[in-house]
Amino acid sequence: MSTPASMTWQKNPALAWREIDDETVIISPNDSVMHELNDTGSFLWKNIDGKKSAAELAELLAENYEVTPDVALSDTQALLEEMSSRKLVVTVPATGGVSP
Amino acid sequence: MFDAQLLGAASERYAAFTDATAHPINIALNHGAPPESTPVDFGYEFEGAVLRAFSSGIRFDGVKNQYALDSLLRIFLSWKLLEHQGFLLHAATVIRNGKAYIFTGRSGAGKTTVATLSPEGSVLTDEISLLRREGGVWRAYGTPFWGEFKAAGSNSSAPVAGIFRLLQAPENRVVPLRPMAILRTLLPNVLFFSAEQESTRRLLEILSRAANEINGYNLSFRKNATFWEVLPA
Repeated sequence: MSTPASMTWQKNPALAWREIDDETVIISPNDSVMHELNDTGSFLWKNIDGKKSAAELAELLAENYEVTPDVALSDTQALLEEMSSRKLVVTVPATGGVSP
Repeated sequence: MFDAQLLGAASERYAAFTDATAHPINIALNHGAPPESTPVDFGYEFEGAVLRAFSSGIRFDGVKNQYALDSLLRIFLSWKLLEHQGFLLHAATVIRNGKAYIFTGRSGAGKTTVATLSPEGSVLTDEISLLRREGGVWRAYGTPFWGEFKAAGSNSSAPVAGIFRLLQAPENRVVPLRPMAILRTLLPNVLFFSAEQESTRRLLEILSRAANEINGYNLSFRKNATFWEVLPA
């Protein structure tokens, strides 16, 4: 089940990362595991700032990669789910509420 | 505990690397614990042996053999190099025409083969290379950490000609790598032991800089000395 498009995302603050050649290398210091993001993943990664929702990230993706809003949203959600499963990103708990 | 035999062996092994700096690091070996109030800059435990780095020097306690001391020294050096734009790499380094050719790869990739096929006296190390950026130039240094080649360590350095990822093949060939591919080559072969976030960030910054500034190649090579013919000058 996917996370709602209105949910905002942030980078996992424990990680170290660098961008080279429009790709991103991320290292998790605890287990020394290396992750790589392609062009699109890197674009999202740069824009994940703890304030933007999946829907807002998808809008940026659509503007920059000439894809339809529907495709951008499904791509964005798929990438966020993938990054979330690898613990690269986490959802920002709603203020005053509890994250589902 | 004081182990004269261990101290003697260590002194001999690292002799060429102990007198070349204006700011030598004091090393205490198995002299017991320091005062508890002394703040530790960096600590690591390996098979019961403990490394503690202080501003005044480093201490090794519980070290039972040369192998443990060697391992802890590598760990200390990998940490210390972060403040000197440097890192340790599983790689053989060979000097040719005044430049350092760095051959990296996993165990069995051919590091020792390359060292064995190189002229006597030209091999800085067959196992652990030290790379460091000084005055805008990357230089490779020999280290006392040797593999199967078992020659004496060479405490000298040269500007880096390139990093070559070893791939054994029926023919010699070099293929230039993009910076991202160079970083991908470096990361699994770098010696690093800190799980601390800031140190990891610093290391990644140094490696990214190296990947952007040093020429890197895939080197397919036959197990003979003819591979030198295809290397860039």
